[in-house]
Amino acid sequence: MNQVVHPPARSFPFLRKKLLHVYISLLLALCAPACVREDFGQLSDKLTWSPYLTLPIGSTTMSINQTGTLPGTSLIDANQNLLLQYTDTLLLPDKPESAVAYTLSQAVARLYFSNDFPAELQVLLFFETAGQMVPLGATNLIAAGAISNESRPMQPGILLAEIPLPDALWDQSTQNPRLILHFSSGSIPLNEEFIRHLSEFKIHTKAGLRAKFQIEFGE
Amino acid sequence: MNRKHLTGLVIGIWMHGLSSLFGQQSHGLFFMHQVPQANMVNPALATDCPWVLGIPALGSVHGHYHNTAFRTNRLWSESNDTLYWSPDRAIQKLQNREAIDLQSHVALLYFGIHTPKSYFTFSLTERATAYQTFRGKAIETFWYGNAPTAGKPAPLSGTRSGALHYRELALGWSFEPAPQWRIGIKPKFLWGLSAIYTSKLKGELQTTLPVYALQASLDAVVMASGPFVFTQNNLGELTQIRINSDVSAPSYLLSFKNPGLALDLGFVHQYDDRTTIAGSLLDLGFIHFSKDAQRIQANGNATFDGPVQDGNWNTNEYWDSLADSLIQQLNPTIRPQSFWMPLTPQAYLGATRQMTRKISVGVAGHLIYFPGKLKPSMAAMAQWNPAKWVTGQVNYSIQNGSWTNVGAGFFIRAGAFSMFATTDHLPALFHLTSSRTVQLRFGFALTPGCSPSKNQIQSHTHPGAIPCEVLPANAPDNPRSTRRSRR
Repeated sequence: MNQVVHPPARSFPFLRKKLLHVYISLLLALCAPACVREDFGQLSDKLTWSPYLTLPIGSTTMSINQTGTLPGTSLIDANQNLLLQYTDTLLLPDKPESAVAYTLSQAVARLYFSNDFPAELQVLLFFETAGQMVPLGATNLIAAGAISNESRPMQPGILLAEIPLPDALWDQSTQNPRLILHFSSGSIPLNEEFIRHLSEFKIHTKAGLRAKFQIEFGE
Repeated sequence: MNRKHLTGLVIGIWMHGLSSLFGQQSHGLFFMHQVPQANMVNPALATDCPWVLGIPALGSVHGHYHNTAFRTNRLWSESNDTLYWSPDRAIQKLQNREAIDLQSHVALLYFGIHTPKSYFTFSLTERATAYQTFRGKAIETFWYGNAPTAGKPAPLSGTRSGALHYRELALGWSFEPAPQWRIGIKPKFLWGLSAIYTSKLKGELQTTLPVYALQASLDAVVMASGPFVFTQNNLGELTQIRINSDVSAPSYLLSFKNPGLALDLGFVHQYDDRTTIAGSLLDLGFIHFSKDAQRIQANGNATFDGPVQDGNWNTNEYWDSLADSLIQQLNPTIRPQSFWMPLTPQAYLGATRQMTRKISVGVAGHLIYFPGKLKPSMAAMAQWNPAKWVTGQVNYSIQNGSWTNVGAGFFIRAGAFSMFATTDHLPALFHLTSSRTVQLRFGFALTPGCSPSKNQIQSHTHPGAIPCEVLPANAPDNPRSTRRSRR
């Protein structure tokens, strides 16, 4: 007697494996050329950002308080004239925390001065990092401010200056870079009217920086 | 996340905006009426099979990436077998308004069944989308620096972002209200799992002269719901955002807390013996997010004159000072608030014509509506039925500003098993990183009792592109057989 032999029934797990096999094969067939073409494992985490930025550095105001003393140094010469000697410090952009390398080039400090005092001002600039001072030069003289008949400030002397900063100032070793501004004036006669309104006289300074930055991220 | 991260968020808010790109378009599938899953792009379409069961999680899988801005491989350069990030080539090509979007869906369950006069479908689909729109000038300013544009305001509007993950339960009904017409209606019940999007963004950035003070005005609102943790300080200011790692995947995926409703509509009209017209209107609806829903708002004007003000230093580090100053002035705050998130409606309209016994051609237009923007696309296709169990298609489309999209697709039915795959841009599958558009849709289904030789009429009087009814072709109440018999 012939015996009919049935093939073993294909179980669901078998079908599932078969379908998954077809599915994965299809995906691989579609994706393989792309995957082979671009091996994303080769992609480095290094990124160099080289923007040309303009950034504000800050502003300072020098004034003589009610007691007649300066926050910096003021000198009274032999003829009882006031001589302004004042130094201020501005913070420059330091290396971002996540950066591995940081340099600046073609850096220019842009300085805006407004001088109420009736005397020309001379400004000397220094670059300070890690306790070392590098002289950068001087601005043009800031014009004297005009005063009223009552010896009150009327029209300030204005100066907009651009001071190039040497490329060598910013490198890997640069820490807490600062811009030091040293003001000095010609003599200002200290008459009674002037002394009465002395607290109204100020020297405003605003500073900005324009530079090509190069900041590298990633190990 | 510290304040630096928060700065990233704030900048992100600036750079982002809402222009949802949620459509999951597939011109190729729209033309393939014989594919059971084509019902997902036109609910009027009914398969010629008594019933259809999509392979769980493989019934319909859709992936779409589109980038109007650049090809991905322009982001890096190769040297000594290493790829280095170098986005200059990409940024130099940026236009005023650009968008990047990602879309995907997986039909976890798909089922369709015929009754004598109707075709019903049931599907459970997981959908996820993300998009980013931005202005090319804003990216250029960020990457190349603000020095060249100092003194000129840069508007922030038009830059938005969003991401949405939701689950969709769709119940479709397709029927013939009149001879030569088939109408489909598909209400969809939605559950939002997570969402984040910029609902409002106005403002501008400017570097002022003469000494480069940075000024920003911002009025932005971001709505968020999902596994996020927001931390505030005593003043109610947002200080930290992070993903909540305590939320397990099952509890996230099994959430049904943010309900929504949507509707799909469609029609198919047999214009004449050779011509079929079809159209659909999809994704008309909203999701109401209430679970862990938050409103993040930043509103204010900020000026940064530098870290030193009147001789007083507020920090020893320049970049931290910049970030702190902007955050304090723009005052990002957060409060619980539920919100409605709209889907992005889209519409198809097309026609196919049977040219020979085995070849049909068609054209279709597609519209997708983003808030404030209507994005059109067009496609043409030729379809070949060399045998009753296989269909091949090539298509050409103009979409996303690109005129070079050549796609392809196929449909195979082998016994009780069927599968399809279609793409609107075939070369992209082989050159992923050099393509702006990558789109693939495929699916597997069981279609038992569906024999093309019995139910599907392959002749010039029965365009392959029309939906096939269960009714035999020679049934007295079959409009086609009636039409033929009249002749």
